[in-house]
Amino acid sequence: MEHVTRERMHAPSLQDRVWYSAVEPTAIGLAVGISYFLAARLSLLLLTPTDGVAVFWPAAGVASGTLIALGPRAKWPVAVGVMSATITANLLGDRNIASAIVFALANAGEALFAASLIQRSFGENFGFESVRRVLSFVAATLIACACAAVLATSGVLLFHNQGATAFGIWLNWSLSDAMGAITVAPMIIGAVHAFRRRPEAVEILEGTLALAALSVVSAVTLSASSHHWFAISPLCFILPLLLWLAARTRPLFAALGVFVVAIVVVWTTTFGIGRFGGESIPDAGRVDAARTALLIVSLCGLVFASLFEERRQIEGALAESNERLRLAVDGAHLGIWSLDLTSGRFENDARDRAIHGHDMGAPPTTRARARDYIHPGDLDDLDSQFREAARSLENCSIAYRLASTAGSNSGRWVALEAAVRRDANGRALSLIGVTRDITEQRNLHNALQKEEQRFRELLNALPAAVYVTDAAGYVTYCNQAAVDLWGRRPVFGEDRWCDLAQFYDCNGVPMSVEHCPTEIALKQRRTTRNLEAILERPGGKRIDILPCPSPLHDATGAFIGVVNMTLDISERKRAEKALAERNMQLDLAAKVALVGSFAFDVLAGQMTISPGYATIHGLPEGTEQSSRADWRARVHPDDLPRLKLHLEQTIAARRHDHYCDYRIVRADGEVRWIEARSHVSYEGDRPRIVGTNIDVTRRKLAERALSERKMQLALAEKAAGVGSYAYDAGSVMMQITEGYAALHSLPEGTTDALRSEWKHRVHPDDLGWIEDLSRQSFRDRREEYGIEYRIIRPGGEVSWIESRSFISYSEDGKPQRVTGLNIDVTERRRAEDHQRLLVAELDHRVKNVLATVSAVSASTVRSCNSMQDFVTALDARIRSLASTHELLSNRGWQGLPLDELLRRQLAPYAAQNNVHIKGPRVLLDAEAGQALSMVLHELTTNAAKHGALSASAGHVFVQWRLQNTSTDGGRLMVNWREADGPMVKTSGKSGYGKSVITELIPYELGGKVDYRFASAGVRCRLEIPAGFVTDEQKSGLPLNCSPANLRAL
Amino acid sequence: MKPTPPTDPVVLKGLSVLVIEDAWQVAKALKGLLEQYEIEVIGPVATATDAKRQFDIRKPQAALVDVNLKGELAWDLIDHLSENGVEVIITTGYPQLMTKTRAPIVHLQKPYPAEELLSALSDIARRR
Repeated sequence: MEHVTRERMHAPSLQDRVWYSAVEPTAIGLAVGISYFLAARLSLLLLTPTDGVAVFWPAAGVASGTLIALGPRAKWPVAVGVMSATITANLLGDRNIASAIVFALANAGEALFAASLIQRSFGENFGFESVRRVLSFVAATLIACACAAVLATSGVLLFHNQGATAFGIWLNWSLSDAMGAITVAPMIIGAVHAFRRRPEAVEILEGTLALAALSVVSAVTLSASSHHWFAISPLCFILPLLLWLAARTRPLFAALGVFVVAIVVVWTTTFGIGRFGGESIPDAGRVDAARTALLIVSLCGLVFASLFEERRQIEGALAESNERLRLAVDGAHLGIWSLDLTSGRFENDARDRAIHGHDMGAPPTTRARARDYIHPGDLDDLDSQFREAARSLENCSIAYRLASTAGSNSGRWVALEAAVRRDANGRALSLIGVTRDITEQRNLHNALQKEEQRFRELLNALPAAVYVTDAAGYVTYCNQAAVDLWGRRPVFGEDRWCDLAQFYDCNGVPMSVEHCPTEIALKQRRTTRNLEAILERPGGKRIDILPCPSPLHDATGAFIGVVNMTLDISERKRAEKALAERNMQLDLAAKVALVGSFAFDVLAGQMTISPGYATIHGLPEGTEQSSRADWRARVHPDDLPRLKLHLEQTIAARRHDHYCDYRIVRADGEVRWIEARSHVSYEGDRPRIVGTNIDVTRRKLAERALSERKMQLALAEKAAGVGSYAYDAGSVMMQITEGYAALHSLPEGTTDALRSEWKHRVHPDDLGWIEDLSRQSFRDRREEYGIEYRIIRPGGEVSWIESRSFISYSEDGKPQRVTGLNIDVTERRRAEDHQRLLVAELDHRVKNVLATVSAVSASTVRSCNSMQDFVTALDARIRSLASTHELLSNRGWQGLPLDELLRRQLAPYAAQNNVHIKGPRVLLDAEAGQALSMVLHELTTNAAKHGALSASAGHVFVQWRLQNTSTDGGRLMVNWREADGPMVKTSGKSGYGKSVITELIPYELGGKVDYRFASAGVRCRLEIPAGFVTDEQKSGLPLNCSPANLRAL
Repeated sequence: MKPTPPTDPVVLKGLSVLVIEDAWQVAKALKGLLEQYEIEVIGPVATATDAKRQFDIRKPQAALVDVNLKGELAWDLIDHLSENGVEVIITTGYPQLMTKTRAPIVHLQKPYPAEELLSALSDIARRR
């Protein structure tokens, strides 16, 4: 067995095959021919002396053996060799050609026939692996020989006249051929087999040894004379040796042994030695005996050999299969166990022990012990499975956990497969099986399941619908999102993807299935992308989708289906629509708002413009391009140079931002103001200017109007002496208008001033109470207050300012901003003062007049004797006063013309021409006028009473003149002369009238009076200082009365 | 108007009063009036200068001053007189005149009744 197991298959290599095809036939033919010839020669040598019969014909064995061994391809070489050998041998053996041919044919035919029989039954590579084969071989040989013998017999009969019968010849021939074949052919067959499957040295040695022993023993025993004890039964010695050969070596050696024995037998038979050569036995018997012996020995040998060979082969096969099993088991890390169901005996191999964690030194040998290693929870299942297997005699497989012992076995899983061995009655005898540690596998499986679960969850969590189809288009998997998209759950394997919904292209035109991306992926195995479509559910609801199908291939590259991820782009579509609308709105708004944008390619001189730009520049609606030349043509000629310069400067300085405003003249002639903001990019060689244009015409006009208005206002302010200011509480600076600057004599154009400066300008007397008031107002949270105060201009003149302040406060009461108005009220105040003065003066005068009247009346009463006189005199005086006042009033209190005064006073008494007034035009101021008027009244009254006016012939001459003297500034001399009146009596009475005449003017005016009663008439000379003589222009106010001297509330 | 203290002719007698009044009529009347009560009338004078001169010469006890003398206000004069111990009565036609003197003086508004003047003078005379 050992020999067999360690052999290696020697398969014919290519070289061998080539050798066979080319060289082989010739070599075979040659070898066969030569061997056949030699064997034939040998056989002929071994003819029985009496009959001339060859006990056996080894050549036949050579032929058939070779043919059987080499197979049908050696057909022709063998036939040729055999035939040529036979012919040669026969010719050499002194037989005629015809019979030689016949014999050749017979021999060749025999070999061929036998070989073909064998080949038909057993195919090529015939060997003695089984008893059946041996017996078949023997049978085939016998049949073939028998048939060939017929031919040979006819040959013999035809060409050789021998005394034997046809049957005898035939029998002889066939038997000897058969024997020859049986003894020799196995040898050759074995040899060829050995060539193919080389035996090991040990086997060769043992075989050779045995063969040698056999040869010796057979030679000795068979050739020994009968009185030797070992010659009695040579087979006793031969058979064990044959057995040894058969048992220990391959059939070749047994065949060789058989041949050796055959040779010895034939030799002894032929040469009459030993057992088969005894004289007592006739020739025929001896031959029969020899043949029988040969047959028996061959049969035995071959049968033994075949039996052992068979066993060997079985053992070899078993060993091989065991080995394979071992490899498989080892490779699969399987442990092997067996359980005897009746005795409960448990056996297992090392691996199984390792898997279960059995104690290596004392593994469990019983079922009960083995169960201890199994997790209690799985024992019931295990038992029930075994019971079921035992009952149904079918294999079972279970997976169970190991009992956790000291943590080493915790969590370990084992898979068990069991097969039932049963007896002849079908009762279960034992269980055998394999176990495998599947912990890893289980863990892997669990992990994989988890992964798969996770993957499924992931897929389901995807917002996009994902589904998989097989190669025919049936849906095999889809995620939840796909279900939501279709509105129903497809049945996997039954629903085709195209059955679940209708498809339209993005314009709403129905799409046939062939054009759908999924179908393209299925049929043409290519992906389509970016094809938007509309899916319509059976219910009619339409959804915008973006399908992304891809063909799927398995590991070998075969197409197995399509995976499609479909995105619901409804939201996006809606957003796009909204955006488009928004853009439209924006464009519209831009147009309405007169905002436009442009992108100008400097080199090309072309710009792309927005609809708003077109509107602004008066270009036709829908214009999208404009050239620089067009733009230039539109720019107002006055602004073009400035614009050009600015742009050039910007580009030269490589500044990015460019801002300018300019006018354009539209096609319809209208002038518009444009505010342009641009960004210049210098990258690369194509500078671009991108920017916006805003039509700011209205704004510009408004600005212009505003600035004009402002200027007007400033002018008005200045003219009106009004100024305004504003400052934040707590700030040191205030903002002022032009008017304010003018008001406070600040330089023209000042817009800011320090508040401290203002304080310096304020009149020191006023600063204190102003600040107090201001603080108080802040405290009281007054929002408005007005004050009048003085400021001192740089030139020193004082101006009165009326100031109105407006204060805004923050939430917590702090003053925030103060704005105010300053008005120069100096003139007004002056006028007010003037008026006050006038009023006061008026009062004064009236009071004076009244006082005077009172005094006059008091004085008058003293100089009058009767009430009537008093009334008359008083009345006359008062009338005189009134008249003077009237005169003054008529002339706006600007002075009394002396001549008027005189005329008035004398008027009541002036008759034809008794009054003569003469003098230059002289105006007396009010004071002097009044004084003089009173004096003149008295003079007149006296003249009327007693003087020149009392008589009709009387005359009054009044003359005056101005006399300039160097010393006192001059005087006014008034001369009163009465004439032709009644005789003047020197009235000694110093009446009131006289005192008036003589005292008033010196007292009030500082002048002189000379009142004389001349004989011709009264003469009065009045001298009034010229200071009381006014010009026309002077006001009626007393000379020394100035506002500075008066203080009135 | 506060009640006027009675005129006391007895005490008035011999009182020297300087009359400063620029309207002759009024000055004359005043003089007449005061001399009726045997008051020594100094002046009347029409100007502050004359008044100062008269004061220097005659040293009156009282003075009757028209505040508005020929257009000038006689505050300095009044101060001068008052500082020198003269009791000053001022007369004025101006309503609500703001006095510019701290001297305790009597105001009379023109036209004033004679009694007012006389009682004021009596008052002064009594104090003397």
